[in-house]
Amino acid sequence: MIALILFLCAGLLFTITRTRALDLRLRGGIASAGSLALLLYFSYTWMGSENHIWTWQMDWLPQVGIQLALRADGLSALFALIVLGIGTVIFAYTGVYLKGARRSGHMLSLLLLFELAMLGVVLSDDVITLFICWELTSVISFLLISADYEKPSARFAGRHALLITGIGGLCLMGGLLIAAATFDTWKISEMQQAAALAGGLPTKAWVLILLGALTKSAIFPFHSWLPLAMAAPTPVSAYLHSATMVKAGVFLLLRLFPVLVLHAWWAPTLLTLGTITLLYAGYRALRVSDLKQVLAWTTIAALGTIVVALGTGTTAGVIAALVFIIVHALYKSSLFMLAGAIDKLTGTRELDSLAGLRRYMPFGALAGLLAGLSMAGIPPFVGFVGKELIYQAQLEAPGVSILIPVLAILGNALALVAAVLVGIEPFRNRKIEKERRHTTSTKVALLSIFALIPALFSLLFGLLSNILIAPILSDTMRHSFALSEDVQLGLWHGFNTALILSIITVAGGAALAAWRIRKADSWLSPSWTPKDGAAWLFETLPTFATFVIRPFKRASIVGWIGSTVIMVYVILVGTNIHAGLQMPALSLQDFDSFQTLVLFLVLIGMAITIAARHPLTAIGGMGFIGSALAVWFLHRGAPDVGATQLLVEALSLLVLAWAWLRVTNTYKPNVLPPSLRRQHYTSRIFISLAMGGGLTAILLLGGPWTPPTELGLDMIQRTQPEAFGLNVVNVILVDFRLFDTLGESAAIALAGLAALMLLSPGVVKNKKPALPATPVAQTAIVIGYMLLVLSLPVFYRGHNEPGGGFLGGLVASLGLIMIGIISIQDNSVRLSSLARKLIVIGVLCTSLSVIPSLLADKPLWTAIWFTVPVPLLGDIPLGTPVLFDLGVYLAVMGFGAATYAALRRAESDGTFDFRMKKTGLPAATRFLQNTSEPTATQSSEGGS
Amino acid sequence: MNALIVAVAAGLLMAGGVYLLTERHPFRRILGFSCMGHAVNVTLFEAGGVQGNPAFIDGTDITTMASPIPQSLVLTAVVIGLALVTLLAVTAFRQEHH
Repeated sequence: MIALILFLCAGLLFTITRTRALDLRLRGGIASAGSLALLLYFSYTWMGSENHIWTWQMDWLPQVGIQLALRADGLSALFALIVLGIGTVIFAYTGVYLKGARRSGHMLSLLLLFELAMLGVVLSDDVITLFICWELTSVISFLLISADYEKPSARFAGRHALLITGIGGLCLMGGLLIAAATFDTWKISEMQQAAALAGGLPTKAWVLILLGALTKSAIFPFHSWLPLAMAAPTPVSAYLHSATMVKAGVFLLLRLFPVLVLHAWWAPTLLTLGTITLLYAGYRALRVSDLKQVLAWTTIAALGTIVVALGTGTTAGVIAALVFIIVHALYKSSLFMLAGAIDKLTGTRELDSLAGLRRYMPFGALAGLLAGLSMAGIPPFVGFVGKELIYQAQLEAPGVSILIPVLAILGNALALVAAVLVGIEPFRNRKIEKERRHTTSTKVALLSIFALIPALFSLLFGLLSNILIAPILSDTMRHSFALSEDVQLGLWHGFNTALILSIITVAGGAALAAWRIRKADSWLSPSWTPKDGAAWLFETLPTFATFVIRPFKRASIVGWIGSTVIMVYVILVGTNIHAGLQMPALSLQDFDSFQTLVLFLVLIGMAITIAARHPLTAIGGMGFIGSALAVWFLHRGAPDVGATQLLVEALSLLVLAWAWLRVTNTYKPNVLPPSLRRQHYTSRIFISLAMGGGLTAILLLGGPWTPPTELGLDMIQRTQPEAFGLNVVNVILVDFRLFDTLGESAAIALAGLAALMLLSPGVVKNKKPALPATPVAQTAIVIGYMLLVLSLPVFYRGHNEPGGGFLGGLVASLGLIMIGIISIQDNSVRLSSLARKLIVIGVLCTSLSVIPSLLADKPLWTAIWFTVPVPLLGDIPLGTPVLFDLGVYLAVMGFGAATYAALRRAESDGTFDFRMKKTGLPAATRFLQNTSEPTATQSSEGGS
Repeated sequence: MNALIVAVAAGLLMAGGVYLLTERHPFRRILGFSCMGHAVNVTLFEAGGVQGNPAFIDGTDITTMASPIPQSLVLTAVVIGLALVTLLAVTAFRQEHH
């Protein structure tokens, strides 16, 4: 387990390391060595465990019995060994292949994470663990397919794959949850036993689980994503989209085989879909000329073969499927790696322009020959063993029509043709139209050697199948499927029907291959290519979405916002009416003249803002509203909220005024043709009043609102004895409801960083001359520093008196901005780096204040207090909430500094032109022209 | 009576916010957002029963205290409002100049 964790850490280290910091080949080598070490460690632990079943578990959500449970029986171990073994070769290959490519470090780390997730899929014994790992593989696959995200085709391919595997994943989750609820356990191993006793799964669960498995394994009609997934770099195709991830579906079928097979639809469904997949994909493989496309279609065909074998529902079928999975993982990863090497050598993957490559890449030619022969099912390769077993299983299975093996012969013949096309043809000396010379390199030789490794294993496993594969299969049958059957594998099973079928396959395949090679042009003519059914889905979905949103998304802003407002209105007011309305007793007795006055001021501010013709007036009106509200908050008994509101108002006015006045110093109301004007204003006023009236109605009639609830009283009572504070609001913020505050401080930190990113064009080009400091400015700087100093006591006293992290942070922000604005030199660079540091340290403080509670083994963020004796000041209580509040303080301060630095930096940079625009279209109109076409047309009409 | 005044004020703040939101000028829309935020804060205060003495443990009768939970919620909402306004202002600023 420790090894797993170390491996994860190594993976994350790769993510963090900058691309150029460490040679990619070295990193690939380290990853490969890590995989190999994990492989050896895992085999050792697994072999040493009792009954060859290794388990490990940790409580995750003990309240509902969910565990992080891993369990390796023979089946899981077999898959884990494939994942780790192929991974070992692939990582080394990736390091060489992707060296110098963009985002290569990123891809390597994703591959590592994928390996872990895939191990999670095959090893997990808990439904939730399984599902999470399953989804992780889908997401990583999506990221890797669309790695080249500047290309629309890559983005499309990624989306396509994610949509199909994602829908499948949701189905799987549904199925597993139904199964878990039916048998009242989260453990897959327990579920199997319970389901076997109960005679199988409910049909709903069965169908959903099957959908999950078939989409992941790209079985017809869900196959369309796999050929598109070839947009990913070749190492990714070799690892995810042939050897491991697409096998997750068949793994799931195998994992739950004893349960799933009990359903009556099992054999018909799998045999039909598997055979269709096998034939259709095998045929399509011959109709494409791109090397990787051929391999992708043959992968789909191979998955079809596996599904057919499982569909027989017999022990022999399971054994055949297992052997075929090993066979396919070996030859297909080899061929994909070879395709990558060919691509690197020649710069093309078009089969008709590849010939005679054995001169340039002898190892590659050997790898192609070995892997191709294994794929074709020629003895003594392991591919032959697999094919024989599949024929055998199909022939022996009761109730399986003779049609199935007959069609399988055709499918295997097609696979043989594909094997010849990709494994032998590119290397053979033959005449092609555009013969080219290539220069070979060490890189290509290395890549070919890596491709050779799995191909050699194909030969080795073929020769020694009974020694190398049979034991683990026997073990699997005994412990995963509870069948005490000794698996015997071998190249020679006597002269039987399966052998005859094999001979027919080879003969038929050879004839077909000759035809395909001779008549290549007519096979590749585009007129023959059928359209993929899934393309329909992608054409229909957007149309459907447009149809749905058409009533709500209007061309005019009023209509668009109006429809949103009306929806909110209907939901809010509707639910309140449903809950019952009550008119409160209105009497003049509780008339509060002060409150009325304050609220009246708020409304005056509102009127100023709406009527304003100049930005400063509007902003001033907003300031009016904000300040009056602050007084109102104070009056209602909330000093902290009032103070915060006041400071926030000051800051936001500063930011708004700065940004707005730089854009334009004029304000034009909406420009409209006279015919539309009346309707425009009427509808706007109607929508506004509807929304406002709704709110008034809810507030007035939805009550009575009861003052301090029991929860509030409870918190007030617990404040002093449990949290050692006197300021209830602050204690709630930093202790009782800390999670809220954690989220909020993170949000404000992110807003600061986003401001920096958005307004940092990079190099400062055009420095403005500094203004001399006037006495007033110098005084302001002093006040700024005083504010900074003052913010500390404001922060510290927060626990007992008004103050705290937010308030202190806002005071400090004001101080920083004040110093920043007045300072002579452009200090935006310094301030922006300060802002980043403050934000990072602040977020770290809030997050790390969890550690003491973890160490004390208490619920997360439980406050832990201790007193520190300080000379002169006496005992000072310190606790994790103080650290947390300090984090909030720093984050808010960082936010202020970041906002300031961003605006100032944008100002001193030549990229932005800040001359006031007094003529021409107001900048705001240009802004709108980018966002909505019809309004822009309207405004230009109005202008003319 | 008091309830009526607060409710009407909150409603008018919301109405003004929505009115500003249907403007075309990006900065005035930001003001609209801000106003709507104010309206919601007032609503939370009123509905949460924040009225009474400040919630400090200093011998005040706890039943007369203003409910502290809505206060802390509104406090964070106010700060988040600042983050939102800043982000919107910076985005609008960049949009105008890019």
